[in-house]
Amino acid sequence: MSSNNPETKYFLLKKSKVKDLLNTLYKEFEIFVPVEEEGMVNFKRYKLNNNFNMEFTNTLLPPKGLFLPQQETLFTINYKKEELIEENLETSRRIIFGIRPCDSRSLTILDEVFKEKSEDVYYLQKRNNTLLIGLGCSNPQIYCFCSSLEVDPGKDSSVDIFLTDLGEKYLVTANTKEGQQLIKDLPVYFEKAGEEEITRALEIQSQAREGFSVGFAKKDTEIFRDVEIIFEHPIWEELAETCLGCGICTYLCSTCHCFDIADELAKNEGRRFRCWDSCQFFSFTNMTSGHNPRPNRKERIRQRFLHKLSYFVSRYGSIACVGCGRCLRNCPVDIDITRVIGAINHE
Amino acid sequence: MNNLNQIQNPYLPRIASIEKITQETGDIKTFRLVFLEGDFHHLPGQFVELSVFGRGEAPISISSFIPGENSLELSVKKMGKVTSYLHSMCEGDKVGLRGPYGNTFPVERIKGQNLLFIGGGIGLAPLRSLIHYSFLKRDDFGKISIIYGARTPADLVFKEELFNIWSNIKNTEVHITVDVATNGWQGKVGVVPKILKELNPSPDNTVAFTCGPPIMIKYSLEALNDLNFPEEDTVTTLEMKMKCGIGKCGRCNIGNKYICLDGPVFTLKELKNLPKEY
Repeated sequence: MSSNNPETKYFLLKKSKVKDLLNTLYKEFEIFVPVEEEGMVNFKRYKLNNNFNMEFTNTLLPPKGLFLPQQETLFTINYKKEELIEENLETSRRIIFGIRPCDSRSLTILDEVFKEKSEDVYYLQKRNNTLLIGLGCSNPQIYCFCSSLEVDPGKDSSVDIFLTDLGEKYLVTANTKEGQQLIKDLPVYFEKAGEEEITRALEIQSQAREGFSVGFAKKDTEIFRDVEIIFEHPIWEELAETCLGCGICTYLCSTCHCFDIADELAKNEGRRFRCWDSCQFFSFTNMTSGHNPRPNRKERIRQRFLHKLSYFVSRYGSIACVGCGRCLRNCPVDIDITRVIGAINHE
Repeated sequence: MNNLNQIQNPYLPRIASIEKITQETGDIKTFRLVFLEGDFHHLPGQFVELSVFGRGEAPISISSFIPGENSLELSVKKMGKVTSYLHSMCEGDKVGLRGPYGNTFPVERIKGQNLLFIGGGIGLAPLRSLIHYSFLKRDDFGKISIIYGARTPADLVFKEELFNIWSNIKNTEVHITVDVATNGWQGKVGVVPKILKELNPSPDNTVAFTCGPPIMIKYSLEALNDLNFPEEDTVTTLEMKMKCGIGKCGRCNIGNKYICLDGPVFTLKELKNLPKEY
């Protein structure tokens, strides 16, 4: 059947064929797959016949680093010639295989920032060059709360290709032209899905919203629209008493994008680079004059919550949180955004 | 999808040469910079990201409005790594510039009005871009009053313009004051907000622009309020730590604003809608 026919968007991919598929795609793409190392699953660059783990709940590090690397050269500087050498931003085509719905949602949130006014070529080049193959969630962990936000854990139409786990195989949904083309080009791996499998997958997809142990009601986020009231709420002082200011919540957050820019000086050739930074650090807003508008932990923890739940919403129209739960899971003193939202509304 | 080859890389500075250096005070110099290639268009109130290659970048407000299309002045206090190294540079040396960035003073809205400038220390630098602009288009504006002060006479910037040029322009008043009179200073003594109150300017058809140390801005805004200047006709500029200058790196965020995109110029009315975090 012609793949121009919109009816042919559902296919099946046997799990036993996934490695062969990756080995084939490897010839043309740089592929990132979830790999378990030392008990942690993270997206790693796939090499021929590498092992990977598709039974993960989510990666420790969010995939934002594949678009906004923890450290990235912006250009190099040749002092002798007084010349700036641009980075080659052309990359091979890339695939992220197995991105979860929460994390793919985080990319559409980050797009708003990196596309606003001056377009960020470093981020957008990678973004436009990357095909996303998503993987539905059916087994949320105790720290997941994506269903409280605009994320459907069972179904993700923002990725190019979406996989629903049917046990021995995946139901494959092609959402974009690029996704359809990839499937069309590799007919040996994808067979047409039957009615029965599609029905079963739709059932699994719709059940995915159940079984969450933490979260909040959408109306509980409305209180953050009134900055004047929420800014002076006593909870920021309380949270500041326990927060260590370590910044792990921001580094592991899939939507936190704040960065620093600095120069590295070498003898003949230096470079300018950017690297992740955190609003939880004193130095983030400390000016050379010595004036710091957010000098204490209270102001900095408030900034993190209000940037996500209030300021970002009024600037870009959505909450800058996808409920991936990484901040809850990794905070050393158990600061929990769902409990913060709950406490502000109900205590 | 976008054709990325056609998007300019916003992080790549353009090279400019230092054409002239003026020592303003012991630790403030004005650098006149000329782009090696291409035009440069800006409006008063905007800033640039200045690169000293190998040392880093710093956001600096443009302190001039120069007719022509490829030069600008930056008045820079020796403070941190970038500005200290800049102070050691010579005429002919090369720097990098990105920008202009940020919003501008409301040059269209203030046409036909009187302008009142209230500056302190190096805070006169961003105001000077609008002062230059208003003198270039002198007939577009009514009376221009400039109140400027510094700690001591040695700390006054743009002395040549203050004492010998601006006050000779028609319908223009310049009031200069120092906190502490030294070196036989014969002029006014007293902090800027005090002089402002003494001069008692009328708010009628007048827009006030203030920039200086935070404490000076605070008391000047109070004084302007006492003089019945409306909040929408009281304009100031905000300073925040910045890196990218284009609303990505996140650090100049106050409420739903980025100072680099939505500022640095704000009316007092706009400021009152922001969380008090500046």
